[in-house]
Amino acid sequence: MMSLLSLQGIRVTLGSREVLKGIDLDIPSGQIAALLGPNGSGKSTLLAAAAGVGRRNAGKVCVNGIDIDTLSRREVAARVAVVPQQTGFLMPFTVMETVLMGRFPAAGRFARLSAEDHRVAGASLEAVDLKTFGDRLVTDLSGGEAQRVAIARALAQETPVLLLDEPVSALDPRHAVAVFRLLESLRKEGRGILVALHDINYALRFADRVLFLKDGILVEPPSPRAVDGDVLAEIFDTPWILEDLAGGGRAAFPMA
Amino acid sequence: MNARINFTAALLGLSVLLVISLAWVISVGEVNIPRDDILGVLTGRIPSSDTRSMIILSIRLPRALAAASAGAVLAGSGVIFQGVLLNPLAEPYTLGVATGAALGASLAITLRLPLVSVFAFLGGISALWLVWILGRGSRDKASPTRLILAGVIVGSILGAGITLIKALAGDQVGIIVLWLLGSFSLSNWQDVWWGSASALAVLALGLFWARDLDIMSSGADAASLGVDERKAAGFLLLGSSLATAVVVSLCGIIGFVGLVVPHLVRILSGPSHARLVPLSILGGALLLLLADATARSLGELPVGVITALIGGPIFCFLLWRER
Repeated sequence: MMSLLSLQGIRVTLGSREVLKGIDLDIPSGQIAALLGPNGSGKSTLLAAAAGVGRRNAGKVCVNGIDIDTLSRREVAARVAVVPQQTGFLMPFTVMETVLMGRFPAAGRFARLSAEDHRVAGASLEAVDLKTFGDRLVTDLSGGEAQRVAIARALAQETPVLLLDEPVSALDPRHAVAVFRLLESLRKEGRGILVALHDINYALRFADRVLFLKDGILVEPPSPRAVDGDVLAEIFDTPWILEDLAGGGRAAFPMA
Repeated sequence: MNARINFTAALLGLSVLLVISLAWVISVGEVNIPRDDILGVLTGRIPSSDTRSMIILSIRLPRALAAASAGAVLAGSGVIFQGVLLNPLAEPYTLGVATGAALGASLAITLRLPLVSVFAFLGGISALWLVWILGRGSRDKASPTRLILAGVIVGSILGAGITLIKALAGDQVGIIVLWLLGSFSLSNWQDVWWGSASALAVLALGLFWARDLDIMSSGADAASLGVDERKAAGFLLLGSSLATAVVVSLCGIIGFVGLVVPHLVRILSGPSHARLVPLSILGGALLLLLADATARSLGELPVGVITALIGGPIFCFLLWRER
């Protein structure tokens, strides 16, 4: 399978600390990969490097075989969308205006936003259950609503690659599960998805692959099924218990 | 709450208001010239050798237009600085750009150098560079608080430099003082052309980068939405600093226009720069035109005093409202 997103030998040094020590990762089309690791393990740094927006001291990022360093910022943003950890909305733009910003890479500087742009933005809002929120101001939203606006903005970019940095950290369980259902439908469309998470249970339930980042190195068990208490204890420095659930899934709890 | 006024209506309304104000401003002054005569001067019915023509065409009109264009530049630059630097307090004045430009110009005047504008620009851009270096945090993005702090400190140091130059300037001190206070009393048509060109440049800059400005000011990670931040910020900051420097070299330091107008317009029309830039430019033109007329009618007060007296309280109100 040709990989959609390919990271080769990514190294990042922040200050005197080497946060990422040569990360290789291939994500094919139609896959959800979950990225887990303790605080400060470099999950956000890796996502930023993969999007070509953060610091990268060495290594290469390719999308569909094209090195993103050879592309303009707009061309990269037409291929890779990012849902940031912090939405950081500062100015009282409306929800619709904010989601339409996701159309910038496609629409460009002067082209008037087309009916198609508005349709895509509307559909993106509907996908995150904010259909009626278009005229609200982003500065008036709750944390969870703002997070969903950021997801909609990334969806509006209509990119083959989607990078999400803890996209459900501010969401209630219903909306969190809805976001993963959404990711599942995007997987069906053939998108490649890398999502940083803190909750191992969402990863076990929804991800095709579970990746762990520890001490700057990527660790991947052979399959999500192979994630056991020992692996989690090693990564998170705390004992874990995993229970088989009646429905066939598994649930993990830290025991510290 | 999301009640925004219609953009076209606002644009039209401000334009009409500007034209009416302009007509009013050139009709008042020491010498009483009836409205019919003003019309006669403007249509060429009254010959240019007539005293009335001289007063209108050589004194009142260039002064009014210079004030309007300067206001347009200051307000437009304020919008751009605020958008790029993610800082509601950013404007040529608070960032030290105006003070830097003033220092450059004072130096040029004292040493009797030509091209005062060039020195003003060099001063302004150096001040901005210094503030930028000091004000940005450990990450790549400038931290809002640090930036203003840096602007205040750099502004104070440069202000001290200006005072020093004044002390050493000898017989040039009068020109410098008059000029620093901010005044359009000596404006001529050349000033009008420079001011208008700068205003048009700011307008073009703001409209060309409007979507980039929207994304940058929204608080989003602009790069991941396709904005080449380094390039956009570079063009926008350099361009608006240049325009500011031109204006500072024409009329001295005038504060608050770049701060108050964008804030007021943002409340009325929302933060989208395709609307914010043109409306602020018109609003700035209107404000400074009227402020200068007020300064003139009060016996040639420095116009900066008027803008501070109008703008300061408005800004206080805005702060209070946003608590």
